[in-house]
Amino acid sequence: MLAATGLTKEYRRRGEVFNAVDGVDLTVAKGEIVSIVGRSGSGKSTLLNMLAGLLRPTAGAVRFDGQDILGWRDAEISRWRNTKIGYMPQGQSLLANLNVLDNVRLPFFLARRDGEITEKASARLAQVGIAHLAANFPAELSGGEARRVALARALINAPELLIADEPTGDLDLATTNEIMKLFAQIAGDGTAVLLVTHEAEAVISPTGARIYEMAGGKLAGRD
Amino acid sequence: MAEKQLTSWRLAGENLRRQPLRVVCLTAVAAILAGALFGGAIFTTGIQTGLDVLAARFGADLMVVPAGNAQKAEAVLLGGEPNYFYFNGDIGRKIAQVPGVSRVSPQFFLTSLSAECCDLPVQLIAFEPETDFVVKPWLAALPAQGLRDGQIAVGCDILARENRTVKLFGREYPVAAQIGKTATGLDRSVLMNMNTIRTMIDHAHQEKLHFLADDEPAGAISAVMVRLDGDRSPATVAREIRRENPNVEVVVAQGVVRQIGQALRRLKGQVFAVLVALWVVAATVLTAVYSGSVNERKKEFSVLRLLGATRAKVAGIVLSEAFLTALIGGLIGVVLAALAVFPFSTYIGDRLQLPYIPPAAAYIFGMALFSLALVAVAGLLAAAYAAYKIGRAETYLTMRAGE
Repeated sequence: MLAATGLTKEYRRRGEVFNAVDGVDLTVAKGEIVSIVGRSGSGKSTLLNMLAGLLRPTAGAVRFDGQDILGWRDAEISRWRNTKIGYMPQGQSLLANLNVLDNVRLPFFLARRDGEITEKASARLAQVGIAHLAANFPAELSGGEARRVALARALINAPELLIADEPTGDLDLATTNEIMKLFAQIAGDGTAVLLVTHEAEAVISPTGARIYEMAGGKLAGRD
Repeated sequence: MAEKQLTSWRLAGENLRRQPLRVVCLTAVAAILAGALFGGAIFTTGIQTGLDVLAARFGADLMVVPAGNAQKAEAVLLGGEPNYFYFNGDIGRKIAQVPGVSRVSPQFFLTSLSAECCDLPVQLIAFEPETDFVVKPWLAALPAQGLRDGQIAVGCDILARENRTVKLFGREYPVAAQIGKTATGLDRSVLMNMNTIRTMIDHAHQEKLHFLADDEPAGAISAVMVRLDGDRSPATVAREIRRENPNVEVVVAQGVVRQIGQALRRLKGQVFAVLVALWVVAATVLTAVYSGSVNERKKEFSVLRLLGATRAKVAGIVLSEAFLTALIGGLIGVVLAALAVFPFSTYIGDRLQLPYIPPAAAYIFGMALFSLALVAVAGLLAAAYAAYKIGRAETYLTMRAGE
């Protein structure tokens, strides 16, 4: 479904060139969980953003169902991200001015489409165990609750690939476990899951995940 | 029930609802802009309308008054300041013989008193119905015979009693007509024919009141209104009248209108300068506020991009917010300006000694719409750079910068 080849991102720091991501090849298949672990600054977030079409690589290609997404115009890539990709950004990413239900409904309205979404949004909230918080605002939520809302929001348009950038970064172990179980369940339903986690989280990657390690911009499989 | 859509407008509305301080600042700037534009335009147009009416219905080409009283005459004519001055009625016949003079008509000025005998202190103007060509146009609504003996006509600012009379020097006089707004001294004057004012003076004498005019020989008048032959220059004839009658002064109607026109141009210049200064300051403030606000909200816009919003959609939200704040502020500004201009414009016009007639309702409505549109465009332009900047930004980088 998703295939990256020779993906490279070059930056300059104080006149010196360095590769934040260096020739990465990666594939993610339908219903698969891929977990990339690495230290802070290893290039994993940069990689994730290139895979989601948010950052243009210096070299390499990203294909989704055989199509080169890097050649698409903004409207096409935005539409693709809205319909095929569910994205859970790092940290707090809910819109403070919208309540929980509207935060979850939001992606539905960012592209032109027909139909109703409120019921589906409520069902997604129930799926992640926070249906009772629908009317609350982000400022009233705990970190774990906010991540569940972000997860429900990422799933609202029934994406084929869920990308999560350090989804449990600042959560306690129990909450992290619950979130990981949700990822496993989502993958079980047929949605591919691509996770980026830091080293400490690696021990609790969802069961059955294909785990990669990232260091110095290079990706390597972990036994 | 249809579900509530999360359109760009709704997102903008929710963002504004939760940012009261930002909204108050932005709407205040928009309100000042729209209010200044609307208020300034309505006020200056009102004066322009007043001037047009004055020029069109001044009636006489020249007004001859006793020497040294030209300014008082202008004050009577324009400001309605009660005043009186006299010269002998024979002067009318002499002026009629000056080459270029087509018609003459005498007028007699008196002031009522701020005392028990009178309802109010106003300018009383008596005219001669047989020769008059100045007052008649204002009294077009009256029957053909015009004002009868004992009747009066009052300016639009004069309030008659419930029984439609005005008490002057101890007697009540029936009001036969009320003159429409002229933005001149006529608005605060009482008009009557010469017979009525003579009777009025007799009554006043019975009340032991005496007037300056009593010292003049019979037939004292205050002014001679002069109409010229079509091709005669008012300045030339005025010079001729003064040469032949050294004890008179001549007020040239065109001169008065020109003088007011100059004052109006000065006023318009000042209003324009204030408007330009306001708009420059406001444009700077709005651009800075929108840029600052977009910088603060980098993460919010990045999240929208992550979720699939196009660059145009994100820019649309920024512009929608700008448009809404400008529109709300503009509406507030227009309403506040209307509250300030409409009740006080006549007073301000008086203070500036400029005639003011409120512009037509259609103009006021059109100007309100124009002010709102201009402020909305200004708001959009001020936010355009911010919208462009956030639309072009790399989502990944702005996401990190916003953290």
